[in-house]
Amino acid sequence: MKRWECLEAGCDAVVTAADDEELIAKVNEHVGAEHGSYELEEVILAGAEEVDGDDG
Amino acid sequence: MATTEIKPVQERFLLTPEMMAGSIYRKYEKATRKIWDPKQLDYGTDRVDFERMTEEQRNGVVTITVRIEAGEQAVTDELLPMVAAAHELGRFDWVMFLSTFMLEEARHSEFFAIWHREVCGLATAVEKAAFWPLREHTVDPTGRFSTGEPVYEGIPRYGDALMDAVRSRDKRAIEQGFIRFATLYNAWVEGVLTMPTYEIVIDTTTAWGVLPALRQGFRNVLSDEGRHITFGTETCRILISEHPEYEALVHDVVNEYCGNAVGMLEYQRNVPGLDLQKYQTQKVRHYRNRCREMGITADQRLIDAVLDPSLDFVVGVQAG
Repeated sequence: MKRWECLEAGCDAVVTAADDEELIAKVNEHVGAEHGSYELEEVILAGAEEVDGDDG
Repeated sequence: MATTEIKPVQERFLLTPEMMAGSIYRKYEKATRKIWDPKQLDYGTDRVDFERMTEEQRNGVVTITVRIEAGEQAVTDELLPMVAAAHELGRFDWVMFLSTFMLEEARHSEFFAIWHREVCGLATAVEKAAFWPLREHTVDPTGRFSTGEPVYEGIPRYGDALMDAVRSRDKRAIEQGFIRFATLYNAWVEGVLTMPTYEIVIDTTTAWGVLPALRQGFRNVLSDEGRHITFGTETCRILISEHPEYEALVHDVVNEYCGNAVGMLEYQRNVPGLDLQKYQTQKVRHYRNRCREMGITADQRLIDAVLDPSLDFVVGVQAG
């Protein structure tokens, strides 16, 4: 699993995804809807961390 | 007379399997897959749009684009010290990536030159300079911060220092010079100060329904810049992980030009109808992203200054 934390001032949203492609899409859904902005693909990948999956 | 010792054969192969499995080589691969050509964009719609835009809209956009064109040309022209340093440090994967980096900055230079000529009828330096508001016209009325010219003063100065370090062949001096240069160029100028500019152009041309070629060009430039920014921060992270004391160098460089971040600069404020506070607030995200990528702690005092509503610049004169 990939985990990415939004660092916009006052935001503590966390986005998780199964792979890079899904993460990029979900991060930009969040950044667009909540902050009227976008995040660059390379920046998302550089800020993402690998975490254990939760099959739950 | 000095002689250069010829390398043994096994030392002439520079691209190792470890490099080819690494993050910098991955950026190189991506860059070679993402080539675009400014001459393939259709500027006809932009030309028609530009003529029907109001004078205020035209001036607002061109105030930004002339600044970006010159900035792209400046960074193309000032990148060589990074290549020399990567060579001297034996980081051939960094040299490979930088070969794409310089080509891409040259392509951005070409794109803005073509757009100005084809859409605005601006071809000469004199014609473009007429739209350039001078940095000294941006003033912090509280007197706490001053704005500098990191692209035209800082990058050449840090580049000269890095070249001096390369000539000294002192590995520590080269690493430290590389971190200073990458921090100013990739992390601070490209990665924080310029980011609102891209958003302003994309947001406003989208809202006005104009200039699709400019917007597409900006998107292409941004895609390239994402690799450049994260190359700079990744190389800093690598060097800082080996020498944690290098983190202080990053903060010193940012502090030197922190005044440029505490308000929106003259060329960013000229587009009509902007919510400037939105772009100002987003600088915090960009700065914190850069610190996360470098594996260092963000300076909370700087963040507080960027977000302080009592701090904002005033601009005395709109164009130079």
